[in-house]
Amino acid sequence: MLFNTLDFLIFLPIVLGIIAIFHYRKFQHIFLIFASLFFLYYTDNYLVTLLIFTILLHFYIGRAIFNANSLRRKKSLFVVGLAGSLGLLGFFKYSDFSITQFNILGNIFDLGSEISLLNLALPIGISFYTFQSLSYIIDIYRGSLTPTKSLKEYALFVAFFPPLVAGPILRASHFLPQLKEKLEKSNGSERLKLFIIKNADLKFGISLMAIGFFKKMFFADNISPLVNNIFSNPIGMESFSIILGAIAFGVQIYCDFSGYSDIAIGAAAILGFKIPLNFNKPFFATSPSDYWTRWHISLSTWVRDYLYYPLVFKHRRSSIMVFSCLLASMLVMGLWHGASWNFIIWGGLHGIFLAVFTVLRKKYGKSTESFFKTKFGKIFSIVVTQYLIFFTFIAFRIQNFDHMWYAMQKYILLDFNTSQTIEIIKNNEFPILLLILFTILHYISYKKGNLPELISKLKLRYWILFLFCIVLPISLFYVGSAQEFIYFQF
Amino acid sequence: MTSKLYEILSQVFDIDISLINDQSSPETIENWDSFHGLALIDALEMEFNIQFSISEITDVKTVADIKKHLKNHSIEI
Repeated sequence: MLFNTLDFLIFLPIVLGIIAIFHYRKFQHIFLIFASLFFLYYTDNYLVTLLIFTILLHFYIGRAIFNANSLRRKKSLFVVGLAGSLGLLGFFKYSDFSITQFNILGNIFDLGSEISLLNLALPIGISFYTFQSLSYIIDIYRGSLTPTKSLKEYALFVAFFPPLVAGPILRASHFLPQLKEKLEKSNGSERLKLFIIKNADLKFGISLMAIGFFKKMFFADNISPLVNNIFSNPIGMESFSIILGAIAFGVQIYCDFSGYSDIAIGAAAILGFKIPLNFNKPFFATSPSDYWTRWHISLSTWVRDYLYYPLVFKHRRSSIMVFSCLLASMLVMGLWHGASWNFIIWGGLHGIFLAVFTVLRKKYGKSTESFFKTKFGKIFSIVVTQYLIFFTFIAFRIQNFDHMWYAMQKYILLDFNTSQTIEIIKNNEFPILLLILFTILHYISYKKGNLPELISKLKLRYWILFLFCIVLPISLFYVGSAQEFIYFQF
Repeated sequence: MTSKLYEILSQVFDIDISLINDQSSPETIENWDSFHGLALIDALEMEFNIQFSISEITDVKTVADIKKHLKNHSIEI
């Protein structure tokens, strides 16, 4: 099910209503699991069986790893678990990509006939729930997590519908205790903790969801035509047009993806679950390092904890090895986004920027410290960082190599022409206005801090006004049909 | 012993020792990224002659967590 559809806006209140009415604890829990599976089934039909298989596989493997009495047995079970889910992910997501590369190599070496593509449908959310499930068995294998004894608890952790199809990627150590607290019968005079929908949670959750819908449907969807105008065929475009396109795409994907995360976190909040932030003002990042603590936080921490650290652990004495592991991790992160070379290039660029920045800071960090502490220094570092970040968005957006290469060259080697750019601005007034409006609102949000929390604390009539200000622009400028979230394709 | 830990942190992250406390974290110390985190692990392992496991390395959110892991290696801070 897509979040930005009437179907979801009907689904959510029904689910909340049923939970609110039927206070019987065990029913609420099972109901939520089935509601989540239905949520996936609605768009993906029979592919929901993959989710069910992943849940069962990791639950039982996790238990078996924990109970195994030899390291060898633990390791074999762990490998089975990894192979099972990565195999599934690899098969559904990367087989056609692998076949294509093989065919290309085959052509180069004149191997004969090509292997035909499988054209498999990409199961929605598989990249997300696979990584989420993997973190569970890896944590158990490392000894830092005790597996849950309840399949129902584990099933809800993986299938929970708000973050199911596009994150944030949850950690069992963070989510399961919350679930346990809700489900466990307390002895004595303590109240049973149920899925009680509290007023405070409801208001906060709705505020956050409203902001998410606003970002996605008002900003992202209406900026998208400008991005398409520039990047559908960028060859021949001026530098400033390319830069404008990169900025517009950056804002589009931020609004699209962080909007989705907001809706997911908000919906979970209504049900009383705390899900960590996935974005933290990435456009104010002062360095590539800082950027990755602010963009798609649940993925970057996953890559750090389960890819980077294990890779670099044994090789940390050698700087070259450390940087190689960093680059490898970022390439994999790129590949995770899609079975396509442009995503790998995107990851590679980020890896290079991170490595170069780390070296530069080590060499010149002390001597430039006082400069970067000044206001001008801070703005300078933000501008330079964002220039690099938006450059990488070109790779993220454009799959055609010729187009990508052209756009990248134009982004760096400025031609200083303006006539075409001015023409584009004139023909895309509304998206341009939205970019300006977004910049203003985003800056205010950056300065004020936790905007959703502040909004949820407004007096009722002002809060209703806020909701009105959200719904009105969305409906006035509605594009006509539910535009898919960009991250659904991952 | 706490001062020894803080000394190492101050050296690795290149900050004044007075800015460090048990609640210090990658959020409060700008230089504390995964790269410097590795340098920190190295420095601690060499100083106290211990070896951290990967689960310990990935389970550090604050300086207090580092103390907890050191304690598990019988290093009282």
